[in-house]
Amino acid sequence: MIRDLILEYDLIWLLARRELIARYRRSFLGLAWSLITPIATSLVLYFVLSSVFKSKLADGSGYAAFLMSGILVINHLNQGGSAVGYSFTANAGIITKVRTQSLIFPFVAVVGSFINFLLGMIPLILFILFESKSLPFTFIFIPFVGLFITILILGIGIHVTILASRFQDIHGIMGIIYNILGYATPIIYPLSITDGVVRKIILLNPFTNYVEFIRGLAIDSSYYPSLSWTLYTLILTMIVISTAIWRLKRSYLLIIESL
Amino acid sequence: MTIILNQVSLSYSIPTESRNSLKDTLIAVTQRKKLYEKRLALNNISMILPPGETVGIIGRNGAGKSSLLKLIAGILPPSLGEVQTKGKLAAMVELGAGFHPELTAYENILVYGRLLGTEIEVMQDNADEILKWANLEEQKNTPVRTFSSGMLARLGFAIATNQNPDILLIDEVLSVGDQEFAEKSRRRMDEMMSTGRTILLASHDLATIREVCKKTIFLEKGNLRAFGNTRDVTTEYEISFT
Repeated sequence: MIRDLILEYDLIWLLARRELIARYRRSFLGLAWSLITPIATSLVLYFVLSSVFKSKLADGSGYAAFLMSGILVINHLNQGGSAVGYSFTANAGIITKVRTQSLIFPFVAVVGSFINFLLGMIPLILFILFESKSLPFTFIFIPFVGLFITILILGIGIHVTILASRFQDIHGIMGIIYNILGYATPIIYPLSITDGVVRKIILLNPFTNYVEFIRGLAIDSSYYPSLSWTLYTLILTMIVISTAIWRLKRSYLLIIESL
Repeated sequence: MTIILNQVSLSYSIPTESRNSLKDTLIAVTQRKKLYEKRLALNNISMILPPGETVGIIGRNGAGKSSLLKLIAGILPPSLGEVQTKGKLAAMVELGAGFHPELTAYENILVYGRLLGTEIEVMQDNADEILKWANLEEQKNTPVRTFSSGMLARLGFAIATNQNPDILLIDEVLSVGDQEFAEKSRRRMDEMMSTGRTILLASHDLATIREVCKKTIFLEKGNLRAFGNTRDVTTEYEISFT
């Protein structure tokens, strides 16, 4: 299944471009929209919250980059998760009329969101340079972490889309779950101000560990999660994606029927 | 390009009542109601379709005509039995087939052709030919959301036949076009037949079926009621209404 996807890279690229073209064709700012949202959110949060949390950061500075790195990940989850969740419904006209691979459309949806994630690294670089005047060389590994985040989001989205073929209100429930996951990720507050059970719960959220890893690469090495939490996150990611692909294969007919 | 169907059944799971929310489902589960019931769209169908023929498919609404085409196209897997299509490609033409409304005719040609298995570079070379056949050269860079249903049918038919498929599956698409399209598409189908392609044509239009198809399949509630000489089968179909 995965090898088939690699063989169809040109189709995936064509469809991903199709999504981007279709999304931005009738808009004034075009692709810039995908940058405006995270920048605007970061700036608003920065001005509102910097006085509260800035002093609590490890090195006492770099709050804008701190915010931006978390917002990038959680935007990716919100946007990618819902794009994958709706990918079969959105492409029903094709799936019910042309023989396609079951993974293609979820994959294309998450690729679109991943491209936005990569574009969001540009304002992140600007924030880091503005606040600390130098960019750590480890920054170049962020796309690699982004890849794992993308795999996790793809897995979650596929699980959602399978459930949605039976219950339409799963999309509404997922909106709430994404919100809870967002608040349970240390985006506006540093993980260091939490302790006890709350800290455990927040660390059980895989996105917490991914955000902290990105901060370790981009801002300060003190953010890196421990080896055991890193392993936990990677294993969880693999479990989510492999069960998603396995279930998709088995319930593909049910999904097509529901379209 | 023989098509072999060996004891093929296709069953759909139909919700027993309208129940789209989790709450309704939980209530139904606690009341131990059956959530889904299986409905046979096609029941134990076996047939061999030899190459180089145009075969008609007739039957009332919901008889399983589209399901049969989708099985042969490989869009739906059979629930039981097996479908063997020894051709390299089975292209299906249906109303509004797989087009993205915001993309132009040209962009849709590339996407649709690639989905049917032709490389993008080849589609780029073939695009003008396709547009010319479909009489849509001036609309090359127009989003297809502005197209009429006749224009969409022409474009879909032009792309699908341009791929030179071994099996062409046509679902009710010829009836939306005008006289010129009907004649042109018939000529194209004749060309394909003479080179050993198999064409399956599902339609309610018995006049077209009688004119184009040598053999015809008559489906009734998912069962194969008759398969044979078009004249006999269409007559049987007409009698079934009286």
